Parts: sequence; structure tokens; C-alpha cells
Amino acid sequence: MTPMARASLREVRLTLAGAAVIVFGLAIWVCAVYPSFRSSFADFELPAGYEAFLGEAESLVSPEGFLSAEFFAWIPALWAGVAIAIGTGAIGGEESDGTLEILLAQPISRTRVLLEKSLALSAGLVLAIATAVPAFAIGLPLGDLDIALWRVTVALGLAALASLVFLTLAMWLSTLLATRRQAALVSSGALIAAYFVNTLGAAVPSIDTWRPLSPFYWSDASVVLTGGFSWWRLAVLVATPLALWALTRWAFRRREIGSGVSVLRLPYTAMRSAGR
Amino acid sequence: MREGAQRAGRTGAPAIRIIDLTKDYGATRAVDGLRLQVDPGEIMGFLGPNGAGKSTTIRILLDLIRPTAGTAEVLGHDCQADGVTARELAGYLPGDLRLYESWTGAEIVRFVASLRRSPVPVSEVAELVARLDLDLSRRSGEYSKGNRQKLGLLLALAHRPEVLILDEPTSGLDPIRQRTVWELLRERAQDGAAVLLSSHVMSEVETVCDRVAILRRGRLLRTGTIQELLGMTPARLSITFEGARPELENVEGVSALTTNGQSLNLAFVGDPNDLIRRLAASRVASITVRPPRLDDVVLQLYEQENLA
Repeated sequence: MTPMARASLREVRLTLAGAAVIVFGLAIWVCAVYPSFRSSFADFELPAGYEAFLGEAESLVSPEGFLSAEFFAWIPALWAGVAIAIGTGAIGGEESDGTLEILLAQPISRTRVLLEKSLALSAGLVLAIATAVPAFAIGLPLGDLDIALWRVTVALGLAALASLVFLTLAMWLSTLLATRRQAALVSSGALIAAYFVNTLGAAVPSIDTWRPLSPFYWSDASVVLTGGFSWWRLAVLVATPLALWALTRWAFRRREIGSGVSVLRLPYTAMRSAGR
Repeated sequence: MREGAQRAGRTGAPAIRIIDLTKDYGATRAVDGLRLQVDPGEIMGFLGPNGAGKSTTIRILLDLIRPTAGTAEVLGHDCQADGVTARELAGYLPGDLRLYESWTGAEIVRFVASLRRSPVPVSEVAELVARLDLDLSRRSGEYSKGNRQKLGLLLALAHRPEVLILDEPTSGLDPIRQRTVWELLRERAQDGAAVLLSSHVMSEVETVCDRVAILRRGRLLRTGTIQELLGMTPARLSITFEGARPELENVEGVSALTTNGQSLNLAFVGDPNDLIRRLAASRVASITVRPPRLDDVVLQLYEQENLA
């Protein structure tokens, strides 16, 4: 691991460790309550609108429906929130703290700074999410949930990719907009919109056409948990962070460090000189 | 002479070359057609009031911001097109140094050193730590302003750069460490390094710098050696006579003449022989001469610019 990557992870270690511990505990807890949930709601019929939240799962009391509704319906949004927090901090946070100036005054290109930080934060985020795998390895047999661990792992992987979409979105906005605060606000707004478009779109036909705009639509765990898999969904979740990273690189190379000016407001000459 | 100066000698490239540099922030022109050159082995003072364009110029040299027009080079390397090489050759101390507060000084030094292409000599770090009297085991967030400044100087100097770009290098330091920093800068210059030193402390610039560039409102008002600049500014004389005062109004170089009883106050610049002859014709009881100082020069230039 490079010193830059170590430094980036060091700054977010508490955030990632906290998220990992919470998710580890929640995964085991959700699995552990499943038997009592199943017996309590065996004859319970969900309202038609709510059934849409189960996605491909047919029943709330089935293991797939239960995990989709009680874990995968909202934990990925939590990870996306963590991704936004660390994504806006990577460049925008260092810029507002003033440490980016001493970093970029060293003989290192902005692309390398961005690449090493992005890879380090992506790896850290994926590792934090991956702590749910051993939790489910303990929890699935504990709660008598009859789902293969590898299916849960694939669902977690898709959720991790969705969180990388928000990580790269936050990094792009923090290099594009004037301040970290603006980037955090817009990223958080995008997260809330993406979450509600996906969840409400499942029940409200007029919103349904907008669901493909949400990363959570493509990472829908119920598809994998019920035995399906779409390479197309995987491709979208891999391509989107890569495209956002390319946009981040474009904006960061043109950014006027410490000037508090959005890249969008730079005159053409400054943008051109950065591209030389 | 060190490799940097030898290399600059071979290539013929100045340590810093700024050609027609302009930087606009919207409708505000922060730097306006600046032309400046700093040669290897030279310490150049970079003077001007707040908003003169000093920091903007320095930030362009480090490719933190981009010029609207013109170019800036470090040892022949364009600071934008070949910025990584330019920064490899430079050491930088910002005016408002911010550090990773939870890291110790040693961790910060190791991290910054790891970003350089060539290794930073441990002996150099040890020598600077000793001379600056710096404790690297403490977290930088616990450092006083002076200790943060020492750490910033260490980061700028430790890799023995061929070009030093320093913004207020002695800010927050006690007088003893200020002298240490001045000694360090002179030693580096003797070894062939070029220093661009931005400062508001005129006595420091007068003590350390070989040449001075004075900016205002983004434009270069004047460059010259300290002696050249002092030579164009009048000395202040207060003379008390016993008996009649001589007539000095028509003496070449005399200005701002005021009288107070038997005393005269005047400003003088130029060849003093005519003035001395006139004074010798009278009986002088006392004479006080205050030689010109750099702040007089700077203030005079600002006044001239205001009039213009």
C-alpha cells in the first residue's frame, strides 16, 4: 500500500470501522430475529403497495423477502451515506482543511493523488461492507435462514458497488463545486432522491420509469437472493463509478486549489491550460 | 557549487522565470503582466501589501492555480505543463501552513518525504531538527505557531531543493530561530539554491535578500538590489547650527527642507560633497543622519504610484 493510500485510510478509519461494527452487529441481529418474525407474521398479508418493496421475493416471511425488506432495503443507503462522507472528505475535506496545498506542492500529479485516494477509499469501503459476510455466515444458520451464503455475498457485492457510485459521485462533486459543504448537500440530496425513487417507484407506476436512474435499482438484492443474476446490472454498477471517476479526474485537474471557485465557473483559458 | 546551480549553468535556465504572467479572478486582476527572474544562488525578496499578487504568483509557481495568461518556469520547467518536475526541484513553505493535526511531526515528515522521487537525506532532516530545535515526536495539532512554522521549514528544506519558495518564513519564530533561518537561507544560496522570499518584514528582507521585487495591485513596481533601491531614496538629516544657518534650498539632492530655530531637517539623496561644503561654511553643533531603509523605499514607491 502506498503512503498516500495509507494516509487516506487513516483519516477515515474510525468512520469505516464504526460502519463495519454496526453492520456486523445488525446482520447477526436481523438473522437472529427471523424465527420469531416468521412465526409472528406467518399469516400476515402485506398491503399490495408494500409488497412491491420485496422486489422479486414473494413473501415477507420467506428468507429472501425478510432479508430484502429488513436488511437490504435500507442498509445500502447507510453505506451510501458513509461513502458520501468519506468521498467529500478525500479532496474537498483536505482542501477546506488546507492540507491539500502542502500535498499538491509535492512532486506528485493530481491524477496520482486522485487514483491512490480513490482506490484506498474504495477498498476501505468494500472491506467495511465485507464484514457483513462473516456476520451472515454466523447469522444465517443461527436464524435458520435457508439461503446460500454466496447469494448473500453477491447481494452485498452489488450493494458495495452501489456505494462506490455514491463515493465517486461525492468525489466528483467535491472537485467540481466550490466547497465541500455544497458537494455534501448535493450528494446527500442525490442519495435521498435515489433511495425514494427506487423504493416508491416499486409501488407507484408513475415513478417506476425513473427507477433506472437509481443505483439501488441496479443493486436490488431480491433478484440475487431469489436465484437470479443479471450481468447487465453488474455492468451498470461497474461502469457508473468508472465514468464518475473520469469526470472527477477532469474536474480535479482543472480545480484552482483554495480559490473557493467552482470548476464550472472557471474561464475557458484556465480550463485549457490545465489540460496541457 | 551544488548540482542545481551547475545544472542551471549548463542549461542557462534561470531558477525562476515568470513571463507576462496574468491572473484574473472574475473581474479582479490579481496579477497583471508580471515579468520576473530569479537566478541560482540569489535570494529575491518578494514585497508588496496584502492583495499585491505575491501569493497568487507563488501559487501559480506551484500549479495550485492556473494563470489566465503568461508562463512561469522553475529551472526551465513550465510550472503547468511540467509541474511535477518543477515541484521536484522546489521547496515550498505556505504563508498559512496547515498540517494533519492528529499526526506527529515525524509522521508528517516521513509522509511528505515519501511523495518525492529522490530520497530525502536523513542526515539533513536530523541537522534541521537540531538547528530549528524542533520536537518531531509531538502531534502537530499540539504545536505552537512557531513550532508549526519550524516543521513547515523542515518540509521545505529537507530535500535540499534547488529553488526555495517561502511565504513569510520567520512568522511566529523567536529572534534566535529567525537568525537560524536567515543563516540557513544564506547557506543554501551559497550552495547555489535560489530563494524567492515573500515577507512583510522589511528588516528581514534587508538582512537576507540580494535583490527585491516590489509589487502592487498585481503589477511589478520595481526590481533591484537592496543597495540600488536604498540609493534612490533620500537619507534624513537633522542638523543644529551654532550661529547662522546656511542656505541649503538650492543644493542638489536636498528636499523636504524644514527649519526649527537653529535646526534644519532635510532629506538628501545623491553626491554629498556640495552639501558637505555648504555645511562646513557654518558652525555645526550636532548632526544626525538616518540612512534610508527599505520600508522608506517601498512607501515612496507606493506614494509615487498613487500620484501616477
